[in-house]
Amino acid sequence: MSSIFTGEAAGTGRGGEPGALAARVPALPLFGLTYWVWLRHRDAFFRVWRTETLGIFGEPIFALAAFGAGLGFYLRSINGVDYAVYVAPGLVAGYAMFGATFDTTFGAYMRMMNHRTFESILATPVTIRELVLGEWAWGATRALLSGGGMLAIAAAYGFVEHPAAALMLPYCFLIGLVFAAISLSVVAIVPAMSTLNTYFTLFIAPMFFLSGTFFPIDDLPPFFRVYAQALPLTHGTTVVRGFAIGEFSPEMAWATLVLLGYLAVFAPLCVWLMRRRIIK
Amino acid sequence: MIWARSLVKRYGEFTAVAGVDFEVWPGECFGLLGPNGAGKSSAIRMLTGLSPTSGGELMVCGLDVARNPRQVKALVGVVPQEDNLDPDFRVRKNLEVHARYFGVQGRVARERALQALDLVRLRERQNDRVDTLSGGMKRRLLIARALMNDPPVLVLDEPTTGLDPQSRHLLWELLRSLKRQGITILLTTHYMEEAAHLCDRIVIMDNGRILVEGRPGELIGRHAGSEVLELRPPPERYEALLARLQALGFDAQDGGGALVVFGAEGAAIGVEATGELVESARRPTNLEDVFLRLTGRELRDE
Repeated sequence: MSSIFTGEAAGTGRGGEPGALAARVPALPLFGLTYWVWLRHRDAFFRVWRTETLGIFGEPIFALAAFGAGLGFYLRSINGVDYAVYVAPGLVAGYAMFGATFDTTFGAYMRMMNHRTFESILATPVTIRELVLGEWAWGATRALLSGGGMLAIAAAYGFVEHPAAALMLPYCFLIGLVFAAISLSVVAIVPAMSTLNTYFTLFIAPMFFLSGTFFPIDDLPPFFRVYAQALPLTHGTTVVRGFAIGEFSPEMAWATLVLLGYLAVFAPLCVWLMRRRIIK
Repeated sequence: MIWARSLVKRYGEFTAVAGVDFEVWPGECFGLLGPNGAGKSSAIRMLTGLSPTSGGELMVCGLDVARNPRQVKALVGVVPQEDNLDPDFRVRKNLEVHARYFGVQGRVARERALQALDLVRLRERQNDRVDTLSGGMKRRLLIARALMNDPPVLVLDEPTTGLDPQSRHLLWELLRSLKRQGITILLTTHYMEEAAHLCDRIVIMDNGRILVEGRPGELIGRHAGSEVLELRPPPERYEALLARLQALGFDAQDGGGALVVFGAEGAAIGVEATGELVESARRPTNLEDVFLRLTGRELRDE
C-alpha cells in the first residue's frame, strides 16, 4: 500500500513497519521494546539537564560538607575510620534510593494519571510489561546518576579514595532496581498522588535515617535494630560502604542476597500490579 | 479492515458492550455514534489494546486483536479523546519519540514528523512547547502523532469534542484529505452533524448495542423521513400537546425544548386538528432525528 509520506520518510510503505520493527529493536528476551521507553525517559531528563545536573552535584556538595566536614569534626571516627569516610558511602546509597524513588513515585504517577503518557505509549506496539520495565530501568538509572553524583563529590572532597569504590556505581544501579520496583508497586495501588507522601514519611525517610547511613545500626535499641535489618537500604549501605573502604566481608554477600530477594518479589509484583491497574 | 463479531466488554457486573457486529471496509470512514455510555469508548479501547475483549472476535487487517496485539497496534494510529501529548517534549520531539516505539527513528522519523506537521499545518510550531498550543492545535498534533507509523487505519475517539466551530471544520477537512489518501478511518462522535459530514457508514449504539447501521442519508430516509415538523409550544402546553398528538396517532417525540413530529406533511394537518396555534417549522431531517426516533430520547442525554 502507498504511504502518506513521500521521499525518505515513506520507508517501506504503509503498515510496512512491524516486521522491520522486530529486526531493529535490541531483542532482549522479556524486555522487548523496554529500551525505547527507557530512551523516552532519558531524553526527557536530558532536555532539562541543567537543573538536573545542579541537583545531582549541588546537593552532595552541601550534604557532604554538612555531615562529613561539619558533623565529622565533632564525631571524629566510627569503627576506626573518619566520620566523613564513614558517612559518605551511606549518603551514596541513600541518594541512590532517593533518585530511584522520586522518579518512580511522583514521576511515574504524573506520567500515568496527569499526563496520560502511559496511555499514549500503550497505543503503540509497546506492551504494558515493557512500559513498566522501562520505568523500572530508568528509575535504576536515576539511582546510578544520584549515587554517582554523590560519589564524585565525595571523591573530590577526599572522603572516598579506595579504587574498589568504583564498584559502588553498579551497586547503586542494583539499589535503584530494588527501590524502583518497590515504588512502582506502591504507585500501582495508591488512590491519589497525596498517598505517595505517606510512603515517603513512613517508609523512605525512616529508612534513610535508620539504615546505617549515619551510624552503625548495632547501637540501636533492639526493636529498631531488628526493623533496620529488614530494610533494603541497610543492606545496600553495608555493601556500598565495604566497596568504599576496600574491605570485603561475607556480610556483603548476605546483604546482596537480601537485595536480590527483594528484587525477586517486587520486580514481578510491580509489573503485575500495574497491569491490573491500567489494563481493564 | 476492521471486523467485529459478537464483541462483548464487561467490567465486573457491568456490561459496556453487549455483543456488537460491525465491519469497516478499506478506505471508508466509519462512525460509531451514540450518547455517553453507549459503549463507543469501550469499543475503541478494545481496538487499541488498552482493554482485553470479554467475548466475541475483533480483527484488524486480518489479525486477531487478542492474539496479535503488537502487530495490530503497529497498524493502527490512535487519536485519544483526551490530550495525552507529552509535556516533557516540544512539538516535533513529541512525534519523534512516538515514532521510535514503532521502530521509526533518526532521519526518517524527523522527515516524517515534518511532513506530518505540514499536513496538520503546525510546522511553524515545531519547536514550541505543547502547552502553548490551542485546543484545536493539540488535537491536530495528536492526529499528526497518530500518523507517525504510517497507519492504514486511523481510530479517533470523539475527535472534535470541545472544539470551536472553526477548529472543527479544519479538522473535518483534514480527515477528509486523509481519507482521500486511502486511510481507513473509524471515529466515534456524538455529533450527528459530524457523522453526516464525514462518514460513509455509521452505526448508532445505545446501551452497548447497535440500534441501526447504514449510510447516514439512508438512515435518515429510512428512520426519519425527509422532513420533520418542529413545534415550539409554550412550556405549559408542551406535555399536553405531545400527548394529544400521540393520541391522534402521530409520531411525535420530545426533542428537548421542541416537539419533533415525523412525517411532516401529515403532521401539519394534525397540528391544525388540535386547534392549537403554535410556532412551527418544517425542516429537513437529520441523524439527530434518527436517534430520537429510535430511542425516544435526545442523543446528548448524559
